[in-house]
Amino acid sequence: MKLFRRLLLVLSVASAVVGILRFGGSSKAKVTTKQGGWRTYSPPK
Amino acid sequence: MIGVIGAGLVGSRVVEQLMASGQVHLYLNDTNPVAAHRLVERFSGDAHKVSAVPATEMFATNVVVLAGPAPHAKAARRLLEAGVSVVSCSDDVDDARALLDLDAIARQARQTLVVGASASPGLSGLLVRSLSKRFDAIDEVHVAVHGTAGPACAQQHHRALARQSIGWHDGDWLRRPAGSGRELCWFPDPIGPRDCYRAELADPIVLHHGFVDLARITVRMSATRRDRITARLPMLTPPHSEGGMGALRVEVRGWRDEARHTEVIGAADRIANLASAVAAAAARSVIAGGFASGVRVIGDDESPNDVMLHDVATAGVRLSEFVGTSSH
Repeated sequence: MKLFRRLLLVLSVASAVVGILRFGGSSKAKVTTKQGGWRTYSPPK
Repeated sequence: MIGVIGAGLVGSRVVEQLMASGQVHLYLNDTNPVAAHRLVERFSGDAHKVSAVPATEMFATNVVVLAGPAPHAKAARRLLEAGVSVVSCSDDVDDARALLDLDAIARQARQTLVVGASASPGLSGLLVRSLSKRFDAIDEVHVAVHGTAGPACAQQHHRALARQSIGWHDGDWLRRPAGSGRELCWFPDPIGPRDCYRAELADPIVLHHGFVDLARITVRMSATRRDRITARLPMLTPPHSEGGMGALRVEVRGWRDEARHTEVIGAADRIANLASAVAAAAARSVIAGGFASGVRVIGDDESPNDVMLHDVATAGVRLSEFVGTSSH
């Protein structure tokens, strides 16, 4: 029983880590504001 | 005659760029003969010819583009001693240092060694030199890069996040752990904002060689939390054959009209396209006699930067500058 509880604990921790890495890896959605913009740059001849 | 060593993603794009600019015959070498022959079949036609040759045949060329994985220093040294100019696409820190140390050999052989002819370094130097004309004096350059070229590039960037970053800070080299120093950098569309971190990339070393008056030079690369956590492990999954859309962002700070001024410029494209456009432009400039003998970095004041930047733009690289906010 003790071994089974430890196994469950390890599995739950591992699942949490995998979940954070899988769904928390990108910060793109957290950005809500933007200033300025990009304009095409033509190098001087 | 131009030779290309490396038939990977950057090498194949260099061949493509050189063919498009009018080179009718190229020598190609790769440690994987199958990859070289595949490229030969793809690009050889009625008007153009690519020959897969052994490495020793490269000594018969005028300039060789080293487009394979680092290190390039040993190959560059052998080519220079044989009287062949070299364009290196390496972005590895140790390799860049070893290449910069070949100045005496290059001068003695009266040949040119162009170090860091890729996206970062390479295009970053061209953009800094172009932007510097808008300033009275520049003293800071901050580079950020997103994405990778081929698998070898992806593995090198993976390693770069696990080592020590290097930056130039007020007259001294500053080392910090890679993966630290998060900064949200806005790249040209469609990439947009990305969290960028310090990494062991060669841009500060190469840029410092070309712009000795700069007080601060930093480089960061985009990474996710997963990239940073797994950086010290072997790559868990094989890298993609090509890393999708990438981008380069260069921020230049300095003085204009006795006030602080900042300009930001960038390019969004596949990293292999950016790197190959710069490498091909450098090779053509070497053939045209635009470079003096010795070690040269792209962007230094003795290099044909305007010609190369024009070639890069002509090759289809779309440059963008950041506007819309007060940069004072």
